[in-house]
Amino acid sequence: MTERLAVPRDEYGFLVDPADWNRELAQALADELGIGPLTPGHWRIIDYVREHWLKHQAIHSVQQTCRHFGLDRKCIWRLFGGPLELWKVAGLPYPGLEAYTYMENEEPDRPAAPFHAGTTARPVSPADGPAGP
Amino acid sequence: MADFDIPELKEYPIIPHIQPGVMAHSKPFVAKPEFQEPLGYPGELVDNWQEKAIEKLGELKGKYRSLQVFLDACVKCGACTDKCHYYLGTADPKNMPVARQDLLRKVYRRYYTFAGKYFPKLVGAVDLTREVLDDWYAYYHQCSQCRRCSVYCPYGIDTAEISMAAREIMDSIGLGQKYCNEIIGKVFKIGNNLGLPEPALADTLEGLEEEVYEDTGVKVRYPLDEEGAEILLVTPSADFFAEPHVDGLIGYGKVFHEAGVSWTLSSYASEAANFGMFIGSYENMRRVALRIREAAIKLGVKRIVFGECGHAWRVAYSFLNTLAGPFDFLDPNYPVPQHICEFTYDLIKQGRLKFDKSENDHMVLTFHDSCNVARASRMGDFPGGQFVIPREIIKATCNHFYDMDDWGIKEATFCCGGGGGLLTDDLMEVRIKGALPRMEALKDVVENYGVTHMAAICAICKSQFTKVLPYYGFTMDQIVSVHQLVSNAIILTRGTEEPGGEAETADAA
Repeated sequence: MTERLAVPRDEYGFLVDPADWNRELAQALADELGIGPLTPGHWRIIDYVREHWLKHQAIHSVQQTCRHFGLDRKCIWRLFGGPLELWKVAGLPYPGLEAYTYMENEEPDRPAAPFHAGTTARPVSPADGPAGP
Repeated sequence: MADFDIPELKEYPIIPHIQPGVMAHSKPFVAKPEFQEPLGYPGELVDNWQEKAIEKLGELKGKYRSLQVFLDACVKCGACTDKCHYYLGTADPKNMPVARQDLLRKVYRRYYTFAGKYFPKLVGAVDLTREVLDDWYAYYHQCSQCRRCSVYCPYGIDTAEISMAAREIMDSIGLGQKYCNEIIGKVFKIGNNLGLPEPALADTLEGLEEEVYEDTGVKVRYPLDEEGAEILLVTPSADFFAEPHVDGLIGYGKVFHEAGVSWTLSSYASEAANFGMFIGSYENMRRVALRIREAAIKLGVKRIVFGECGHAWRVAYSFLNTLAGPFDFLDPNYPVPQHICEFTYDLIKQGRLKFDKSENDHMVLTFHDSCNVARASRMGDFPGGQFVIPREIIKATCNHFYDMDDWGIKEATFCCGGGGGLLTDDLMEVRIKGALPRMEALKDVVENYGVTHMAAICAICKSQFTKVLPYYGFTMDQIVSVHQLVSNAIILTRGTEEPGGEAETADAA
């Protein structure tokens, strides 16, 4: 496990250089964060967020990311646990303090019931896209 | 997960028994030299910091007469002691506003009053020691500058002014707060707190246009850097990223669309927030505010409208004209600047917006007054407009609205717990504990009226509630934007042509 993760990371756990990233590392990071095996439903979002960062060097709204794939706004929480986990698995660097703060504020510290009745978090569903390989 | 006890919600705020020093450990991260210097401050604590701090205090009290008055006038009557959400949430007596003020006042007395110079012990005057400085750093970052205590002070002493002065003094000796200072630097460098450059903003806004078109069949525009537009919208950059902020931004666009006015955002002035106020630095506040002036001139707009952001509205309403004015190039027929709620409210009163309130029937709403709007500014052209206008917008767009109890709304509103530059995860304990009174007020309307959602008009409030609501048994999505409610209910009547056709939107009215 430790060997798979032998790349420089900062104090927050972000990759220092996004160029160090590869799919094997992403899976290792996902394992470390307790996300489990990455499915095609995960990969397409990871690829999308990475592409946006490499193009703009900026964060991208969770809402627009979900919408791009025709998913509801809670898909990032269901699939990754929160926006910071997605950012880390995608191998992206520290996004800046206010961007980090806003992402952190959207992290459910109390995952038991992060959302209001009707949109309650649920396990990964077929609606999130293709299941595992 | 928090490693401290989450306060228990009572029926209403109970004044806690004091627990001296329980929050002395709560200190935000210190700004690194690279984030101090762009703001004009020493990189780290200077060798002669004591001398410099006393000198700075003298300079500030000379420059701002109010500060000297506030330092002299307190009679320790105690009216403020139980008014602070941080005291109610933490029980640390140094979070009683009078005690927090006294951390600076006792040093002022020692060096700047006759009695303090010669008989310090008789008047509670003390030397500025490292211990005192540590207390300043801890407790002046446990004040969100919300000014609730000032409402109850018989002398009108403004605690926020004292906290701001203390932070300015600390910055000037090289002891700055990481969160505020790093973010102000980001505005100077990129144009907004979140670090979104022009192409990223353009991409986001294009995405919003597609989204609204898919949802409504109407081509509502979200323009960026369009010269010649009538209105420049300045909004917190959180509106481009976070939830429920972005829903508010979608709402502003729909209102402008329906009003038939041309408008634009600016990539250069893509931030309404102005953390210069939090650190008490008029110079940095001015540098941030000047970006708005420059953008308005460059784009040739006639009006400036601010989006939903509490402290930004204070800076806009109370400081913008003196910091970055005169705005004699804008249309004098409109307020300079104008709040998006004023803009929407005017249209509602004129009967120019149509709503289907049932679109919000899945929610029962209450409204959280943001402190800087409630106590440091105004809206509309009548007293109390800042309380009436947002509520009237909610009532026009929702069937179910209930106010929280009087002790926690309007001028008595409780801070969300994350204002004043405290919205950072190194201050999570004070943020969570400081949210206690608001959570108690919310619990009351949830239990008695079945309230499901709380609306707000401040980016910090919205983000803070997203984080802290779950700690008190609520859910993170129970906080909504006021213009999200507008967005849900508004009936778009203009530009409903078939896909592919040109939108007949702007410039018509």
